[in-house]
Amino acid sequence: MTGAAKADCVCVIDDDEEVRGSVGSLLRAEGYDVRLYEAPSGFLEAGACDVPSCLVLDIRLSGESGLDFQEILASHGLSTPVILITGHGDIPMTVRGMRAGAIDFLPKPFEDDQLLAAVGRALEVDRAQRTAAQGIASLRAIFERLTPREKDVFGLVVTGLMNKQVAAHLGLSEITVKIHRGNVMKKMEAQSLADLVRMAELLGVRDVTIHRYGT
Amino acid sequence: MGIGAGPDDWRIAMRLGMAMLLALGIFALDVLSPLQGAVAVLYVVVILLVAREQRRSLVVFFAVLCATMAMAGYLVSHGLDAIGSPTMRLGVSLVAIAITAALSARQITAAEARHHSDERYRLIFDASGFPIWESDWSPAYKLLRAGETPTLELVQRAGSAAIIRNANQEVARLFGYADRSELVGANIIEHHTISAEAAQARIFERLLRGDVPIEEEMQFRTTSGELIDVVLRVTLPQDHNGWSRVLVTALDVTQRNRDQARLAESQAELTHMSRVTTLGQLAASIAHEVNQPLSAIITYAKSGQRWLKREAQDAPETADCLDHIVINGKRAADVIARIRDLARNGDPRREAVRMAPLIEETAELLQRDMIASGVRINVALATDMPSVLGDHVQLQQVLLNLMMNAQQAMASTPTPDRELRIDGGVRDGVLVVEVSDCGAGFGDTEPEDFFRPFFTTKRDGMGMGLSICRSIIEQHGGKLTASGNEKGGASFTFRLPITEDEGRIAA
Ligand SMILES: Nc1ncnc2c1ncn2[C@@H]1O[C@H](COP(=O)(O)OP(=O)(O)OP(=O)(O)O)[C@@H](O)[C@H]1O
Ligand SMILES: [Mg+2]
Repeated sequence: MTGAAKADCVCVIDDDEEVRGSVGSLLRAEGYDVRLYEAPSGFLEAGACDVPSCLVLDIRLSGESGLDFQEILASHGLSTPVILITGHGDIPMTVRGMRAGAIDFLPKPFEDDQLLAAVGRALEVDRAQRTAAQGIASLRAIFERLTPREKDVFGLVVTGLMNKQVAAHLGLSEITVKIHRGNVMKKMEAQSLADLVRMAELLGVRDVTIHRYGT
Repeated sequence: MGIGAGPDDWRIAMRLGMAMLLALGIFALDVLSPLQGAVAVLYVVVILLVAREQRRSLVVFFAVLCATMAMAGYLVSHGLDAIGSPTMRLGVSLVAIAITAALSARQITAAEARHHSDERYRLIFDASGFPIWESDWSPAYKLLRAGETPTLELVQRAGSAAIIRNANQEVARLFGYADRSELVGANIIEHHTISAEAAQARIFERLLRGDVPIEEEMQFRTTSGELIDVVLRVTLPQDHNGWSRVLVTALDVTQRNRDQARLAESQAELTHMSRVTTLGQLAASIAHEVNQPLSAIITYAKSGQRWLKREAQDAPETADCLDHIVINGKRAADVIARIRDLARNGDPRREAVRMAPLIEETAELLQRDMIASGVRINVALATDMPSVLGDHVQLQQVLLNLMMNAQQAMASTPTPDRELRIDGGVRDGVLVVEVSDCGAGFGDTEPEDFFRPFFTTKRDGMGMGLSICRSIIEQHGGKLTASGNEKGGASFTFRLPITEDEGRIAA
């Protein structure tokens, strides 16, 4: 019971009302925001949560297979981590599910601790994914606030060119390049050139510039 | 009348001698006496005397003799006088002799005929090979006529007053006596069982209504204490005279009943075995059916513990957990009860079985298995699905067999096409259920062949499924048939009579 962090969202898809309800009750007791669905269609209609979330999915849903749905999720670019549960152990299905990236696989009846641990792990994965995604977004916002000249200098500096070469490329004086470069480092909060290179990679800046200058 | 032994012959000879003496006496009287009457008419007495011997030839002989003597007497007394009143008297005497002789001869012929038919009757009675007896039930008749009702108590009273007039040797054998003479003059009350007394009461009732012949099956106890099953057939002869002559024939059906019971037993055993085999095939589905509620129970219990351990304990949530633990406990118990029913090896029951829930429950039981083999089950039942009278476990067995056969028949059908349809409704006043698949169908084989015991085309098949299904449906008074359908698959249809007793059994 760790309080605030538990506003995380857990979605449960199981066609058995009682099993679904029991998992729901357990997760609510732990403070999670729980959403229950009888079928995948309900989950898709409801749309993604905007807090860290994960999905507890029954592997054998009546009428459709949970595994098929797991693959549909992936193909839709939905990265919600999945925990599989199943009525009776089915090894080939398990293998397929884990290969498709499931966090864990729990045969019913499962231990509450096991499920909660798996949920915890799944949420960590989602949180990390979300932080990463957020980092890139804020970096891009800063990048977008650079002046056109600064962007040009940024793009060339991260390809490993010296200030003099950059100046030659852009038809500027070396001192001007140096000032722009300083501004870029400051605005992007980069400690070193290596930092800047990593940011450029995340933003895809280098590719654009190289293309632009045709070197 | 058979030719008797020595003493009998003597008696006959003596009686004939006396007749002869009487004739001679009459002759003497006729000739010697001065009487002017028709003494010769007295010869009639001689003929009547002889007629008692019941022999036509003797009657004829004495008639001729007497006539001759009468004529001789006339000649002696009157010679060849002109015809006068003595002649008239002779004529009257001769006519009297002739008429008496003729009547006696006719009576003898009739008596002989009756004697023949009596003889035939006795022969049939004695030699028929099955038990026949003739009883005097007039005490019962009197009691019932006096307004008493045929109760068990009356049966006992009347039964001990009844008398067996005659019985053949088979009756003695049936009840375990050495000779039939032990039965004649007695009754069979000591062989009665409760069932026999109840049957006897029914027999009295029907006899009273004149509803003959009567057939009733009942049990008797023989002298050795063994129980025998007997069908009694009771008839009243026309001249029964207040039930004083009742004809009873018996058919010993003990062996037949035993054979039938043994047959029914082995059939029930087979049906049960096949059901248990089916259960084995369903093991995975059943495990799942039980596992789901167990899983819910465990999780709800853990969850309840956690709600209690929270800083602010949550009573409503905890209570909700407990409620669901109960619900799921019952659910698991239900599944187990259903399985135990299927495994049960008891006598078939006769109760109102509601068909719609039975079909749906069976489809649900197979659902997991069907999904695993890519089969979609499509159940289409009329809203007014009726109940039928019978054993719900056996009827479920029929559904399971037909559905599993359909599933197996679609093994090589392309997955998207694997559809199992169950249609149910009422047609022409009977329940009709049809199980159809889109499998391989019947090919060149006659559909009837599939119903033969041990006919199978499956590697691990027993070939008993359909044969058992058919006998179950027929025991329920229905019919099970097979036909091809428009999708190239097979359709199995059963029809069952509907019970009036709608919904006597609650869900
Ligand atoms: N729906 C069907 N479609 C085509 N053939 C069928 C169908 N149902 C039964 N049959 C044929 O009838 C045969 C006899 O069926 P039945 O159920 O009596 O025995 P089985 O299924 O072979 O063995 P088991 O005793 O295990 O049920 C089957 O082997 C199969 O060839
Ligand atoms: Mg079969």
